[in-house]
Amino acid sequence: MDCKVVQELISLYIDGELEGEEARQLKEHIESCPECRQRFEEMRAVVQMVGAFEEEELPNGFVDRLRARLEAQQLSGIMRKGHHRFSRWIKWASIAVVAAIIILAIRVLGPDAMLYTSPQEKGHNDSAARGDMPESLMADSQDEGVAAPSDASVDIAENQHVLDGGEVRASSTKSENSQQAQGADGYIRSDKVELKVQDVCVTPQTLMIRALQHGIDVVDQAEDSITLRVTSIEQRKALYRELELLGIVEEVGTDFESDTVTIVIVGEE
Amino acid sequence: MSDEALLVEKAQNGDVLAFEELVSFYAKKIYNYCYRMTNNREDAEDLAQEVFIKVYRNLKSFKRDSRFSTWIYRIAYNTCVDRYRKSKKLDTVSLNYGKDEDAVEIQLVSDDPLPEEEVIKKERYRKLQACIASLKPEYKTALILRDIQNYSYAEIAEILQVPLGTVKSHISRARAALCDALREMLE
Repeated sequence: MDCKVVQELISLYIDGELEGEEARQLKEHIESCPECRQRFEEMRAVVQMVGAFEEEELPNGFVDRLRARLEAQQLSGIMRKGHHRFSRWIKWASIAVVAAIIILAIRVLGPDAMLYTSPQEKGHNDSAARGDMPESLMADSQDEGVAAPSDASVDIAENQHVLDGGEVRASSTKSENSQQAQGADGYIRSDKVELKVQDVCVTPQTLMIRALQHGIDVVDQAEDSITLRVTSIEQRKALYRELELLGIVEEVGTDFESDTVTIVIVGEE
Repeated sequence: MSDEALLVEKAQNGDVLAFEELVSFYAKKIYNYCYRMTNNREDAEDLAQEVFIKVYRNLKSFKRDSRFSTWIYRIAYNTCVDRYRKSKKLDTVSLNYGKDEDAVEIQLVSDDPLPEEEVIKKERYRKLQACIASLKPEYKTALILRDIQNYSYAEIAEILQVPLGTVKSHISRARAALCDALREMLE
């Protein structure tokens, strides 16, 4: 047996993890090779010394402090859940508002006008659309606690941006408007992704490793979330593929232009 | 069903007392694991508490066909790794053994000179502990679980979620690093 192989196997030999023939050969070798025998003795001594480390006592009050932290966590957990439902509600309300505006705009202007109006005209058209907006929707948007701009000539796209508190961002450029007309759903622009995981071992760390494999940079990392800088659609697709492998993707945005994506990991309840 | 499995089931159904019993069974082990990972008592307590908070929050996602001990150690390992990456603080203890907590212990007893043998033993202990703390988390975990907490290779593989061969090589390398550190000390 070669010295190099022996040195690799000494650790297993000490633990009795080597099978018959291998164990016999190793034993033979260390009996005849002083260098390997020294290594064997050193390692055996180290294992003994580490094994003799005294167990540390649990600090006084450990369980009490843990209990207090758990209680505090539970409280904040309840608050977080409440907030979560609220933000989801806002999201759907915003989608409804955006969809209504698009439908109204198409009805008033016709689809061709949506595709070819100049930005100046659009401002005018949009305010017309806004004027046609049913009262109930206006009331809805105000219910969300965000004041609708009093100036009627304000670009409606900006208005939407204010309404949704940043979660659904509508833009004022014409080409995007046409996309918007094609599918309001595809327009939910959110750069926050919620990943529901069953395995608690999926941590921001896990995501970081996967992200780095796709050349995606990490911007920030917290206890249960990670923010990544996504610079291309390919990267974004790769990221979403990874996320789908790890858990259930909820609260997902399809904003292909946001340059960062924050992934919040939530345990499955 | 074993006592532990029963406790886990009760805790999963919201029985706080059952959860506390699980805590009291694992607290010392997890605390000791974290202590060996960090070589610092304060960090160890903080990490161990974080582990139990995660356990509590994710208890429902624990599948009873796997071992609870493996699951909790997996969480502990991840918690330590996360902390390590975040602050790299666990690493700074590494070769700083003149300044860590055991140095204080030495000072406390220095009025009453120790027999030379005891001094050497203490010094070796500190060297080993510092060396363990300076290892990469996966090596360190493999070594702690194997040589201090007496887990089998198979269990460690399950905890680290790596193949058995990787565990064998982690343990072998970690031990070799400790041998080298001691040899360096004797030279």
